[in-house]
Amino acid sequence: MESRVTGADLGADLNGVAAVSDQIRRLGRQAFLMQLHATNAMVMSSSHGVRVPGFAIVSQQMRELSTELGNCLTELRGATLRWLSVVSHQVGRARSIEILQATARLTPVAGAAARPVLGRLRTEHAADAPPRLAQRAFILVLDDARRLASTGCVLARTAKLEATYGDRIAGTLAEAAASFTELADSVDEAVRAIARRLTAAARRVA
Amino acid sequence: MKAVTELWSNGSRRWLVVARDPERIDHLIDTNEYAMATADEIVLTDPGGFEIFPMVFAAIAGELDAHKIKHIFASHQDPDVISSLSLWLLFNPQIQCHLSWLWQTFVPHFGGSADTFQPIPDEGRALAAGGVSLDLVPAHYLHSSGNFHLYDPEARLLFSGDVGAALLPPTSGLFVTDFDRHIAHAEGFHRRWMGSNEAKRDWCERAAAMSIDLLCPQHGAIYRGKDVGRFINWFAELEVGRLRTRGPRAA
Repeated sequence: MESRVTGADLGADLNGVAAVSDQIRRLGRQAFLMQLHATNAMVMSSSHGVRVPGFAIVSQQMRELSTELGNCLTELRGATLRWLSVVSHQVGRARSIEILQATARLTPVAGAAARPVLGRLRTEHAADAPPRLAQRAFILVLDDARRLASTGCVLARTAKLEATYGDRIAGTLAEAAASFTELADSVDEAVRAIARRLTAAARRVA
Repeated sequence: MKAVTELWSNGSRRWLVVARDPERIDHLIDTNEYAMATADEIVLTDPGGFEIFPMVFAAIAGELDAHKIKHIFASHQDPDVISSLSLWLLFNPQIQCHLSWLWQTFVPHFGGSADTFQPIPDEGRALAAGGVSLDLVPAHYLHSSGNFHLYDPEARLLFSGDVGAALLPPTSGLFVTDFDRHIAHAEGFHRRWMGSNEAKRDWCERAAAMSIDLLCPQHGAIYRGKDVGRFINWFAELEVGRLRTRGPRAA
């Protein structure tokens, strides 16, 4: 039986890791901006002496959400590193399998010597297909990220409603709410993009 | 596939060279691998790069029991010398790799565990294999800063790593037959790769004091008989470690 996961597949996995890392960086920027906008909105409402308690609560929740998102990102980065480590190991092993296959084809004696080692390598290789391992680690963290993204979208809609009670700073608060919406959508899209990458990786070994 | 040639034998003890692959991939430098076999153990010198492993393994397995490879001697750390290490270890994880202490934390990037590496101190040491004692002789800065050659006093054979190497046309023979013609292919290599005239003089004095019938480099052809002395004298006179011209054809 030929090795199922090829060097090209693993190359695609490395590209997948790079793409996911890129999305995680993007998420990191959104979490930071979310924190910044929430703080700004809170400062703005208090400095104008206007009491908008609903908007203040939503802003505070946005701040907390961005902190949670930050923790989630740390875990996602850890999961990416573990994925990369397994994929790198697999790349080396896949190349060893290719070289041993070439060895086994050269002469009957070389084939007899190489085949048991080749069999062992193939078994190990099949046992820990990197996307499967990566999936397990990622799915748990991604579920959290998805929940945070959905909460962010709900909070953004609430902020938009609460901004209308902002009296003379209603317009400014509406702008802040629009920023929340944009950021929450962006977080949601980044999380979905990571999920799509993972699904593609899982499909390659299915 | 690479060809195997016996260089020396005494009972069950043999020296073999694996060299000259007619189907060699052009973009990889050609290398010679040597094996010292006793009844129980094999020592492999500079087993080569990852990409040529199939050819080297198949050639050795055709002559010897490859599972008896217990020692790998790496003259230095270059990829054409030792990047195949992880593949050899797949066949026998107990293989001991002997190399300069200087490289013992570098070469593990090619594979192996902490137990794989047997560092060689700067002054050299013996390597005991299958009841035979081989000398690991210092050749520092020729060309690597931590560099050794392997000498078998009984076979009077010196494995000389990159010293004596020549970049030969593909159809060249395994042995030097016309020294003057051959050395033209070695000159540029030695001038550029060998970094120290002082180290070179030390090596020449050491080599001149040894009894050597076969001087076996990692690239090119093997020097026999009087050509060994001719090479040592030629090398002693050669000015090394200096770029004579600049640019891409500097070597």
